[in-house]
Amino acid sequence: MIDATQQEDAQIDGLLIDQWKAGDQRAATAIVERHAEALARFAGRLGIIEDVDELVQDTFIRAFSAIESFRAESSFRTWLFTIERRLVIDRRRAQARRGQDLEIDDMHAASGFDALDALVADEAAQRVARAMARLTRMQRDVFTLRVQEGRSYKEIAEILGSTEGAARVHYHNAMRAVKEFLHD
Amino acid sequence: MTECLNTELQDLLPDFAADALDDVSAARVAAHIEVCRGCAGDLAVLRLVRQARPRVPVPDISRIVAALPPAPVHAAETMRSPVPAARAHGLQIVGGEHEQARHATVPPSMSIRRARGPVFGQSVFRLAATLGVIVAGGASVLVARHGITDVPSATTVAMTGGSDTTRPMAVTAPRDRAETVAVAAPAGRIETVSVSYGDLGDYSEDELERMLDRLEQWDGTTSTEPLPGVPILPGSGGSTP
Repeated sequence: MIDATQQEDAQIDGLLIDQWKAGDQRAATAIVERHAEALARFAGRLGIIEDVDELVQDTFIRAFSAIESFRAESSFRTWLFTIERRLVIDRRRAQARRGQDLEIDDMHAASGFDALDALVADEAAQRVARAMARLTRMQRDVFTLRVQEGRSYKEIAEILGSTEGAARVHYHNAMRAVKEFLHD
Repeated sequence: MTECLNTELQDLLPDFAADALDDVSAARVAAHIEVCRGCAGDLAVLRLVRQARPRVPVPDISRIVAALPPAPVHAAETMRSPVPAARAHGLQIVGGEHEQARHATVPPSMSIRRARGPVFGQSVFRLAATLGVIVAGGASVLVARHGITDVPSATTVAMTGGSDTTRPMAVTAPRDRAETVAVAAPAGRIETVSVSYGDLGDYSEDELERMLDRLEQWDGTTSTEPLPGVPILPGSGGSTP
């Protein structure tokens, strides 16, 4: 797939990372400004409503601390999404160990999505949000990453720890389900 | 609705909706949509889904940036010059500032775990040093000057890394009678073995320089050898009886 925007983004991110490695702390600010909002949005998609700022901050700290391991085989944002998702999984496991009922299941994901629904002003968009709330977690993650965040199937597979083929199937199933809901 | 069989162009629809395709690919998709009702319908749904993207509050950028580790070049400069930092802030900062810079490179959740490392290392060092003296079978006690008191010195605190969890190892003479003390004792008769250099104010610039050099060279690894005393020059602060 030819994706001009992502290629340009990758070049800009690469330059900023090199500048930061060379000692330019302002480059870090530019990197955070480029990706913080997308990470906050993705946190919402993962069902995180509280402490989003803290999660986004921890994601950046972990990324900058391990920036030497970023090989640019995927985009920088994809790498950040991967880190953020792992942090969410770690956080939920820790909470589960403490006896808090926060397993990663579809019901929780749906309730998180419903909460975000309030942030969507347009009525038609709210109808879409309700349609997406009916998807399985994997379908919804794949669909939002593909449509709303513009990630490729390869990147989605990397973020979700799945395969490119599985991501493609989830996308098409999600698309069919959303269309059916909207046309009812 | 008619299902499209052109999977290649179907796959490009989300990128077309996001205006993320190059001109050639965008033109191909646009031409296809003109004749394919299925893809036109899908595109309408995709545009609606994109509009439904929730608007989340933008995280506090300045707070995030402030929490980030320093750029590698800056960090390397800090690591290369611990002595000026120590001089600027006093001996206590030798471990403190260094530790802060190192911990700043990891997320808060990880820094707690790492912080246990030096404490553990100090414990091993103390144990090994004590065992070394015992194995040596020393039955003598060498006291360079006078008696031993319980006044800890600033230098000793610096040698223990400034850790709150590590009690000062040294015992020294009163402040008005700075001492260099080396101790060896039979097993079971002494609990801690320590070396101290007295108050810093008692030392000349050269002696302080040598102490800083030794601290800088000290790798913190286990050693069974007691620390040697600082050579004492006549008339210097450390040697005055």
